[in-house]
Amino acid sequence: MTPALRNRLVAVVALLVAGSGLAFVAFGNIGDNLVYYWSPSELLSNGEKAYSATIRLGGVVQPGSIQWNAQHTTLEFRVADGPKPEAQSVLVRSTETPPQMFREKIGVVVEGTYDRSGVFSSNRLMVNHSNEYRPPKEGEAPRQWQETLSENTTAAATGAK
Amino acid sequence: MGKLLHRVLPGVAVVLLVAGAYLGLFWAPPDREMGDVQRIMYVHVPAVWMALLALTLNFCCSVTYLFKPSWKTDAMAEASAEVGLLFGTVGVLLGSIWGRPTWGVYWTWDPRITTAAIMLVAYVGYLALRRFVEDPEKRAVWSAVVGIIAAVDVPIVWFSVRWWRSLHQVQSSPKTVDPLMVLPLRVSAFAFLALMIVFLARRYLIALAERNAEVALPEALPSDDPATRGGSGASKVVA
Amino acid sequence: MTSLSTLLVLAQAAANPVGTGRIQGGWGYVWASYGITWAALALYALSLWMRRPRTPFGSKE
Repeated sequence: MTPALRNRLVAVVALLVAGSGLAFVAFGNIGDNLVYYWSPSELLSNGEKAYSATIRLGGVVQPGSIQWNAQHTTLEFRVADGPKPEAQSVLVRSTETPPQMFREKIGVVVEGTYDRSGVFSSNRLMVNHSNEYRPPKEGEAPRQWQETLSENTTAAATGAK
Repeated sequence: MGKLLHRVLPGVAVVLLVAGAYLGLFWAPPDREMGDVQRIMYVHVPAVWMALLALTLNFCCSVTYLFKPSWKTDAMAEASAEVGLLFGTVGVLLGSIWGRPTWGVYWTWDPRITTAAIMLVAYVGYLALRRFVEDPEKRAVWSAVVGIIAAVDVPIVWFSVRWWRSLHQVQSSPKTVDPLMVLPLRVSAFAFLALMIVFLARRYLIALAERNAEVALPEALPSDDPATRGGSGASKVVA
Repeated sequence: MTSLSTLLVLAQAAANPVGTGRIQGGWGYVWASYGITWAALALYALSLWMRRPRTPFGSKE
């Protein structure tokens, strides 16, 4: 076999390996086994499997559920499947300082453990950003609208369930 | 051609880079929700685009080399991997900084970030392999194979946000980005593109000069076209 | 990384107090990002110049 032919054979084999690897990742449903986070309904339906292991829970902050304790050291809110009030939700107790965009109806991912009392204790709180970028509205400072909104929800201490 | 590439384009790149930075830092409005940190987009996104582009070029060079061996394709493969790694590293670092105020964390093992990290590790490995193999022909063949395998991750990085749940948002489009923010991004992207082409061209010449020094004998690469080999071939490249 | 954390502290100190205890974004992050980008690009350009081929092209050894 000439070196040129050998190289071409090597190329074909490498391309086949690469192509099948990519196809496996793309169509092999590995996402079903390696999910980055669980939704609240998945967490609730998983029962025993969800307890005590460190897991991630992702969803939307339920409107009206954000609640700080007096010293502002613990933050409680409910993570729901969607922004609708009737969506399934899980109570989250977080000891982390939330990022600036944290508010009602925003996507969050929390990392921690779920216990039998139905509380998800989180030591890592992450906020999801959409792919939309817009300037502030006329006469409005950036992020101003959001600050007034979050002050209101802090005062309103109503657990939704 | 050579003059355009090595004299004019660097100037164009610098002018565009300054213009893009001005537009991104001072001209564009801050984001409604994110505030000023959104301005990181104008460097983070072009850096990652250029990384994916350069590494795609590396894949093309790897395949081409195996079908039609030439020191030129091998030199371009080396150049594109290094330049791609540079932009990829910058992109991941900036993403990490942007993540802190936006997501709340510098790092999390979300699909996009994980696959991007794998990509960086893969091409560090690729460049290490190139450095450790002494025989230029073996190096070219082996690294071409590694280049093809490593390239599997490049489309995965791009599609990771669409295929799986991730913290990283899906790709923005002009529809989801305000026109006042699209312009700085475009200018910045073209600046990065011009700079990447300059880097690639320079790095290519370095790699080619090394190959020519290594392959002192014209017969060293039997399957190569004699016209493209050795010192005489290099002059054609510049022209 | 240490300079980054000082920038972070500066960014937090400079931001308006929101009262709800949030990680604040600010120009510190922006300047850190642009600074890293420019530094990396400039250093790479410098490295290319340092590694430039010594023998002029077209001349045979």
